[in-house]
Amino acid sequence: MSVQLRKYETIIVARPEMAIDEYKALHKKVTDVFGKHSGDLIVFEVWGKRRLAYPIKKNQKGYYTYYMYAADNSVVQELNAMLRLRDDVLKYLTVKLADTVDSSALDKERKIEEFQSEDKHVETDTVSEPAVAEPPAEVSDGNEGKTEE
Amino acid sequence: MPKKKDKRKNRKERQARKKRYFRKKVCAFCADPSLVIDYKDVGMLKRYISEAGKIEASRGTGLCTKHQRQMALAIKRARHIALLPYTTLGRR
Repeated sequence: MSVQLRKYETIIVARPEMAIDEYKALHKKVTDVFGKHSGDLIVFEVWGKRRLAYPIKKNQKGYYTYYMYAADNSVVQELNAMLRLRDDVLKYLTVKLADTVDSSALDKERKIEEFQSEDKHVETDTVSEPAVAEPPAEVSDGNEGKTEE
Repeated sequence: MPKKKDKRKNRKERQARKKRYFRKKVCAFCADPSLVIDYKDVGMLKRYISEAGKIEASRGTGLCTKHQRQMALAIKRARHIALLPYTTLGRR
């Protein structure tokens, strides 16, 4: 009877030139879907405007937001259906992280970011030029998504 | 000095016997289990694509089959959300 909760994450790439309120409205739409079914938002991050690796609908940049949540498949279905229809969403990707959810450990991971004022999130540049083919031998250092400028 | 020469000769002989001799690469993700393949980690993924944006073959990356498979999937996911390019050829 009970629904099987699973852990998912969704990345949404929205149009870059929208006002902060429009991003909030989009965020509200997403959280509404969680509220309607048994979705539980665990992590929400605003990555902000990033350079796209390739233009989408003539946009060179996109506004990235990241969600991690525990939910059943009806949430994912509805979320994807909603995102598909929205013109302000350039791309989205939902990935299943785990088949089971340890609900007691969830609160430890919980981290919900707020939207920051516009200027703070501009230009977290990643990806643009092809990576200089580095030898994959050495790893460990600088795992952060940095680019050499 | 003479000792050194000897060593070199030895190695040459060994190589002659075993014709194709190469250093075996160790899969970076097997060597360090704390590393996870994450499609969001662009800096890490970039090391496993060619200049043209193509996924490097395992013979180039040195990854084991399991991790090469995970890596390829991660790169494909990153491409989908425009974190990585599908190709960099044909750019103005």
